[in-house]
Amino acid sequence: MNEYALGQGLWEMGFAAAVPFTLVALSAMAVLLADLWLLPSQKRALPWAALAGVLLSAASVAFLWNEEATGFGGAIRLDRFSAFFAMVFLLGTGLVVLLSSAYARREGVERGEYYALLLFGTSGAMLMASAVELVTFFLGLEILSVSLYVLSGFFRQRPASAEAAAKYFILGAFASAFLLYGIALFYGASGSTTYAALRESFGSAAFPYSHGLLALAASGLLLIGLAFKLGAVPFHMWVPDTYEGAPTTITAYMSVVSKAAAAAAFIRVFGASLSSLQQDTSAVLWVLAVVTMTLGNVVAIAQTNIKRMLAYSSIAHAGYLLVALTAAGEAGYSSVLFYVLAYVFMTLGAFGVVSLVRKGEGGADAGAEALDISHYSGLAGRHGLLAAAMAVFMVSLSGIPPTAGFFAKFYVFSAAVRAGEVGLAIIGVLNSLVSVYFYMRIVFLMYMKEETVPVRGSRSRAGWVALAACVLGTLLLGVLPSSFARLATESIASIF
Amino acid sequence: MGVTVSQYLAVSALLFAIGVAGVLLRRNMLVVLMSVELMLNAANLAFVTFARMLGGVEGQVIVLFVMAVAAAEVAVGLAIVLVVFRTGETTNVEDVSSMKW
Amino acid sequence: MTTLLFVLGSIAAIVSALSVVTRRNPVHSALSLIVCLLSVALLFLLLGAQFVAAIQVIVYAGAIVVLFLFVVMLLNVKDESAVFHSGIAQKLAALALVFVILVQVVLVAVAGATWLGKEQWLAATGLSFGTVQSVGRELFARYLFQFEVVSVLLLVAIVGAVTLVKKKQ
Repeated sequence: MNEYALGQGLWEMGFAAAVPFTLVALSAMAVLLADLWLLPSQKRALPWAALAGVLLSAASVAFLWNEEATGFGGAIRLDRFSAFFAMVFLLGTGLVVLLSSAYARREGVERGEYYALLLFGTSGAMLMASAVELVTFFLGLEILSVSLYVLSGFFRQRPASAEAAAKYFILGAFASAFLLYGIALFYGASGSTTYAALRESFGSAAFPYSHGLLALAASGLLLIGLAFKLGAVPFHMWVPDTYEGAPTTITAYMSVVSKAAAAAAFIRVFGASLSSLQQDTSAVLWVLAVVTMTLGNVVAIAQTNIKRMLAYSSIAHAGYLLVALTAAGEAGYSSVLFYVLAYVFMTLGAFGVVSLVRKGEGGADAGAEALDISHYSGLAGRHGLLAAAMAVFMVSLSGIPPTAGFFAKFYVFSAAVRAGEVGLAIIGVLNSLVSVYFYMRIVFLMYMKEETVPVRGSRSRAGWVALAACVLGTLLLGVLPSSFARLATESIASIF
Repeated sequence: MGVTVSQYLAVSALLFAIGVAGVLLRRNMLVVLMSVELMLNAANLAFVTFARMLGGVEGQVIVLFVMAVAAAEVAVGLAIVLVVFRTGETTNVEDVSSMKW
Repeated sequence: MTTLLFVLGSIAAIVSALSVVTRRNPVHSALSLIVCLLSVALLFLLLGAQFVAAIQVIVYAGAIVVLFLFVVMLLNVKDESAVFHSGIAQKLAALALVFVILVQVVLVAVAGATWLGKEQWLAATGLSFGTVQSVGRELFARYLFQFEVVSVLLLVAIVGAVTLVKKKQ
């Protein structure tokens, strides 16, 4: 860690590295303040204010795209890797804000805090991906987690939402404590908390055995914390209940942003700094990957609630990410980046459709969310476009060409084969085959069955724009994957 | 000095383990939250011990950050406990959740 | 003298921690938590961390646990019927717990015996070690960014807590 004197200017400290984070956090505060001034009839402007913040920060990332800077004595770093993940988080947040603009109003939670906490969460995620120091990373993780605890309990009157928040909070705080203890052990073993110091202490295989033992214990504790954020088995217990109880748009946000942030932090810590421990971590990750994929896919088959099904599907996808992390190396890690980008489009799209579909007239609870899988029967007859969009996302999630999901899985499994993990790749492919069943069941219901419960789709223009963007992204990544794959490879190259 | 690094670390490890036990075995959300505090406190003890061993105050500064994090978690955690209590009149984890995994 | 204080402090910390986990009444747990935090503050003092020890007493024991007590009183929580509930999940959890403790004990033993080969304190510390001045210098120079980030975290926590608890207008 470089020393620097008190009284230096901001730019000399490397403030450039923190600009995107600062802009998002400031926009969140601006949204909070705006909420105080706006009349109830003007609250519709809130999502647009949040979107402006997202675009502002994205513009700064684009402006700094080719820059490299390390800020504040080695706390945070701007490089292509940070920029890539910042763009992914901002993309995800922007789409969620668009989807929320209709959803939040309808559910009666259109409040400034909702959008402010979304932006704060994003700032935390950006910190996790760009931190090169363990305390900064930990604080970023806490900002993201605390925002999400609150957002998942945003339907304060509903027991399911309260339960979602409670479960997420208890297990999240538990995992954070493990992570913190791991950081303490790393600090003791290397004398500093910067990733550079970790690399120096453990980068070569020359460190003494006892030292390595401490590093292993620390890595284990850190791994527990990250596995929880990823939603990997056996730290997945919160996922189904929290995904089901939380507001649908928040579920979408959670599954995309917090997963991507955990993967980014993992790559920075274990990939770039602790590569000497890779043999040991790979063995653990191998087991985690197999268990996570299998459990996610098998249990998803039995679900009747679409949010719960997508929750288990997200566990399964965490498993595929773990396959890529097990494979490691530049190929493995760049496939993680491609996967994360593809995952943003297809998962946000799927949850987006869910957030737009409601029960139609006639029933006692008309206008409530249509969350049962059977509600999707015959959707194609009534809402052809919604059904078509959902079909695209389901095809992509199950990994069938020509969609983003196919190439995402292709890169992951081929990286695994190249790393000599043929068995793992085969298990992954078999899992994908299982997953085809429950994804295609939705498509089958939508197109082949008669309508059982009348449903209607929201006419929110913002929601439709978000869906269109997701469909476009899913297809674009499936048709022209190579330029995005190159982008991922370049980003990974910037941290090694 | 008679007391060594590893003795302090042993106390820290024990506190941490007791905290883990509390989280896993207790069903009252408030007590679970207190057990998490025990775990964080154990980590703090480890930080301060290492700071002394290394002769720098970095570890002590980190402890200050951990306290802020703990305060943030407790504030939100207790708010969630209140929300749960209002919707279901319970602070018991098992009453809250259908535990269907 | 230090040895005696260490033994007293650590025994108090461990016993009170056990009491946090085993009391039926959450009020008793919270009070035990205060005792535990104070004993750990004593250990901090022995380790030369005066400022952190003071903050531990003022902020942790003084503010955070009082918050706990407030909520416990507010909710009027009754004693639990049983402290530990039985069941397969609990037994599995207990097994996992034993495993964690085992790993830790092994770790500490190894750390004590061979790790770094230094059983004695490495750094002789001067008078300024752990004072407000030295901690503050570190906090506002090397950890300036993290310090600012903490402010965002606290803001999130405040906004979040208020959002969750406030009554609907």
